[in-house]
Formats: sequence, structure tokens, C-alpha cells
Amino acid sequence: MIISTAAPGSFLRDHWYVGAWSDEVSEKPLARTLLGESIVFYRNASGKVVALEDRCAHRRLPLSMGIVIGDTIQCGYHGLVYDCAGKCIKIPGQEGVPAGIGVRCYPVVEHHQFVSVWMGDPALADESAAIGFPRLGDPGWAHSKVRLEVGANYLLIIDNLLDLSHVAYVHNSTIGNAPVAENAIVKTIAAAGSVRITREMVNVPAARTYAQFGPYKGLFDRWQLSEYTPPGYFLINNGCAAPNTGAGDDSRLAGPGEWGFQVYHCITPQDERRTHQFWAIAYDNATVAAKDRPEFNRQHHHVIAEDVAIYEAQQRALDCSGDGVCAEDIHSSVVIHADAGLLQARRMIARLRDEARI
Amino acid sequence: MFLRNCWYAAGFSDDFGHALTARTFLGEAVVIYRTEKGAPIALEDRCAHRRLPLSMGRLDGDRVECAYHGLVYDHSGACIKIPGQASVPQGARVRAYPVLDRHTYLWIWMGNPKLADPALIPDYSAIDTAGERTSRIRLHLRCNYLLTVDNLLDLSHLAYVHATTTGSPALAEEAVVKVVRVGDAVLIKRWQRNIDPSPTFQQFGAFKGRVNLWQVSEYRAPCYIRVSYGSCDADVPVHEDDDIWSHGAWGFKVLHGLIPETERTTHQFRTVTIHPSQASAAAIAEFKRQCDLIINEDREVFAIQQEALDTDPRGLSAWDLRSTATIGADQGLIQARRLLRQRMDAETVLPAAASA
Repeated sequence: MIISTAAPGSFLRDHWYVGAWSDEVSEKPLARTLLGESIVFYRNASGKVVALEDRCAHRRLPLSMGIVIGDTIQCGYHGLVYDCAGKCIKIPGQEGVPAGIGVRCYPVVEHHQFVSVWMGDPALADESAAIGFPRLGDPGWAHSKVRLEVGANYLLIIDNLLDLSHVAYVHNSTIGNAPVAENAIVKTIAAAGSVRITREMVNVPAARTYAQFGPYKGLFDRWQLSEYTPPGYFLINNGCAAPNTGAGDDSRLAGPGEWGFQVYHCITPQDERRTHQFWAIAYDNATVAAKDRPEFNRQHHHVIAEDVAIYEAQQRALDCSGDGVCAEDIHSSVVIHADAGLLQARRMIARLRDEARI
Repeated sequence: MFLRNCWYAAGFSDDFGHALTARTFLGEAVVIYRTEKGAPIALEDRCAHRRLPLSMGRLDGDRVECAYHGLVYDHSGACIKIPGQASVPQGARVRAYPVLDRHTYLWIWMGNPKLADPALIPDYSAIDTAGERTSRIRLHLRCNYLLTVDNLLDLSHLAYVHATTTGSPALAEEAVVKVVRVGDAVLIKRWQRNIDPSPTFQQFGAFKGRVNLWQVSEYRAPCYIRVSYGSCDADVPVHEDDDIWSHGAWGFKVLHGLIPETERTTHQFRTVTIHPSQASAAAIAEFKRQCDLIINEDREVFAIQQEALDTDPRGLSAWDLRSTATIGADQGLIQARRLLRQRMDAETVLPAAASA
């Protein structure tokens, strides 16, 4: 079996990536692999999230096997103590710490339920560039979230979210039905820093989830907007309105119309074959009554689990193909019209990679 | 590395119906189904678009719809519909493998489809009429298929691996073995005269005293194997040559359908046929139990052998016969390996053999 691997360093590094949900990080060390690097997260005495290289400078034991003491973390092997900047400040049994002993410290921003980590050159880390979704945590909005460990390359997830025609087939027991693939008016817009795909379905039957929780039980107008911002952020806006009411009005595509919800995905590669997917659904409190939210959320968690099964089956197919293909090789397979958006995204990633090399 | 331009047993014919069944053969993912009229179809199990296994999709009549973006393929593997667009681009297809039903098995051709001649399937018509007096079993073996071939071409192992049923020490110690090449087949003939019957023969042959036993293994490349067992009282004369195929006073025949799954795993589909005169309905149940015990004993041996190969620091595979001691009983399997090697060499130089 030939297993192809993309060149090392194929990940975009000078970017913010979501490393954890805020509520995952406490004064107990949390180990996580991002872009092939082992990182330990913890909260210091003042509640600030710290992200350090998860490997003691002495005997390489993961620091996540140690304990947090106030602002510092102590290695579980020989007790070396590191401060929030990764500097070793104590070596038990000896006076003083030789200069230069420390572990890498990653810039971190905590906002809108995310702990975002800068994986590149710390000098370039601009906190204002970290992407967040303000509806997460907005008191006027309800949300449900999960982190998924996906056994697939991150590009397979990006592909999925930029071609929502799959909703018709993969999610046909909940949010999908045939018109999502068959009757959609699809537009792809590559803006400066993002790819935006809209799908508008006019006068089509409501899929199960829409009929069950939304105002339209029969025919309606439905739209999806999927906005991808590299390296791995997606905002998917879903809306609907009465049938034959204003198709082609681009302004309505970003809002809920009569009823809708938003889905967010933050995709952080773990390595070439594993990915963290931070997923959340959010909607205005008025959209779904509190008593109906568990079932509404459950249907969407089911949707994301269906997608994970797809990604992992694709990765297995790639790994055992015998021809050495990997998720990067988009042109070794048939290209269909619905791929327009994901091809734009692939180009955008390639361009960012080229720029990073210069 | 496998011989590709040949028919392999993909399973028993009735293993496949009007439903998508995923299998791996020769390292390739294949989806098999029958059309509404029952014709067998085998396609590459990987959508041409995003490589999702088509076996995760569904059948719409005789067509396969991918579970991801709804691409539809006909039974030739051609994509005939892409939802949301008017036409299908050229080259949107998956590979189709020739398949056909014959002698109760489904056969698949993993090589160049243009060379797939049904006449190349060996004539196993004897089992077509064997009826109820058969015992079938499907096994997933954790070994390269050559280890299974080796096993079936050296039946001296019966004395040790199957000592509670078909084997007894005399089968290894007192056998006269003759290896002959007949056309494209290797025959390994074994006679044991005037010996104590092994337990299975004693039980079903109802012998009073000593017996003559004989076995023949017939091999054709890459892994077509048929074995026949016969027996009679020790004072009855045994004729050699073609009579090796007769069951004498009591015996049975075994057909082994083999297909490599990967370099380290194999599917085995075995049919044992026994003549209606050879076993009462009550006895057949016990005989089947013994047959299944026997093949599971072999299966365990194969897995242990493969593990020994995989963990050998020299990096061995089942092909490396010369890294181990060769004994007299290996003659048959060495000839078989030679035959297979010739076929594989011929395939790699034959331009027409390039897979489509």
C-alpha cells in the first residue's frame, strides 16, 4: 500500500487556529496536537489561557503529564517549572536556571467561546485578525457545540462544506431533500479573503427539519450561504421565506429570512490524516422554543456525524487506493459544476502557501 | 503482486443479490450487486468525484447513486447523472469488472476486461448437480493466498493438523506421492495402502479393519484447487491413474474458491460434495461439522504462518519459499509456484495485459 503524504509544512502556519473550546481549558493541563505540534493548554492563576510546547526541554516528557501551580506548569518527571511564557524558572536541586532553557510559547486569544492559537511566527500574531463568531455566547441566541476528532485530512472537510449539494444525499433524513441538489441556483463569489457560495432553492418542498421546526410545512424558498475564510473557518447561514418571494435578492442570503439558523465550523488539522472540527449551531432565541431545542440540536448533531462518516470513508479510500493519491490531489478525480466553490478555496489555499514560502 | 488476467471466485453466486455489497479483491475496493433481472455487476467502489465508496450509496433500479453528491452510475460504470448540472463530463466513470455466475460461484476478472474469456474458468460442472449433499463455508483468512495453496497441495499435513478427523500418522509416513503435470494443471496424487483408517474414514466408511486411502489435489494457476478423497478395504485392489478421482467405498470432493483480498488476507469459499450414497441425512450433519472443524484448523495455521512472516526481521513474504527448508512433500507446491510464476511473468511482458 502506498500512502502518500503531502510535503511537510503543507499547513498554513501564520494563521490563528481554534485549539479548544473555552470551557475545555482549566487549571488541569489539556494536551492537543495542532498542525503536527504537541501543545499543552492551561489556565493560569488569573484565568488567562496559556499554550506551550507540550514537551519538557529536559527529557521531553509532555508537560501535560505535569501539574499547574499558579501561573506555572511543573513537569511530571523531574519537576522543572515553566512560566506562562514557556521560560524554565526552576530546576529542582540546583541553584539557578541556565540561560535559554524553555519551551515554545504560542500566542493565544480567547473570544466567543474559542481558544485561538497562532501557529506561526509569534512576531506576526495580530490578535485582531483572529476569527470568531459573536453569536456564540450572545444572550439573545441559543447555541449547541461539539468538538469532533475526524480521521481524515482537513481538506476533505473543507470540500464538504463548500459543496452543500451533498445535503440532499447525506442528510436526507433531516435537513436535506432532492431539490437541494437538483433545483439550486448556485453562485460562487471569491472575495479578497474568503470564498462565498450561495444556493437558492425557490418554491421547493421543505426538508424534514425545516418542516418540523420552521414556519413552512409545504413549499417554501430556502437558501444556504457558505462562507469560507482560510485556513479553516466556515460560517453557514441558512434561511427561508414564503414561496416565490424575492429569489435573486442577494441581500436576503446573509440573513434568516422568515426563519433560519447559522452553523459554524472551525477546522484545525491535527496531522495529515486527523483533524479537529469545532462545530456549533446558533439561532435567535425566538427561532426554536426552548422545549424543542434538544431535538432540533440533536438533528444537527446527527448531520455532522453523518459527514464525519463520509470524510473517514474518503480518507480510507485514499489510503488504500494504491495509486498514492492524497486529499490534495483534487484534479485526479472528476470535477463537477458543484465543485466551483471548493476549487476556488483550493486555489486560495495554494496562493497563501506560495506567499508563505516567499 | 497478483495474477490479474484470470477469473477469481468472488463468492458463492447466492452471496449477492439486488443490494450493494462491498468487497476488497487484490487490494482494490469493489462493489457488487445484481440487476433487477439478476445479472451480476461489479464496479470500482469509489465515486469518480470525491472517492466515496459507492457501496455507501443506494440502488435505484439497476443504477447506483453515490451517497455524497448523488452522482448516478449505470451498470457499465458510466456516470449518467450529476445532480444540478445538465450534462456529464467525459471520463466520468468508474471501472467495471467482468463478472459471471458459473458452477455455483460468482467469478470476477480483475485484469484487462478485453481478455476476460468465460471459457478460461475451469470446468467444475460436477458440483452443479451435487445438490443437497454439499457443505459450503465462507472464510476470511489472515494470510496471503499462497499459504492456502501450499496447504492444499501438501496433504501430509492431515496427519498432524487434522489428526482428530481425516488425518492419522500413516497419511504422512506411508504415503506414495506422485506429482504430474497435465496440461496447465499440477496433480499431486497420494496413496496410503493397508493402514489403519483415520477417524473420519473409520466413522463414515464403516470399515472393519485396515484400509487403503488415496487423495488427489489438482491445481491450476493462480489458485484453482480441487481435492478428492477415496478409500476402500485393504484387501480391495487400488487402481492408480484416473481412479485416483474415484471415492471407492467412501470419499468426498472439495472445491476451494480463493481470491486474495490483500497481500495479507484472503477470501476462501469452500464446497465439499459427497455422493448421496456416501452418507445418510443424519451422517451428513456430523460430516459437515467435521469439515468445518478441519478448515478452521487450517485457518489458524495460516494466520500464525503469516504473522511469522510479517515479524521476520528479513522482511519475508509468502513468496519466499527458499528461505525455509524444503522437504520431499513440497514437490507439488513447488511445481505449482513455478506454474504461477510463469503466468505472472507472461502477464507483465504481455502488452495486451496492461489493465484497462
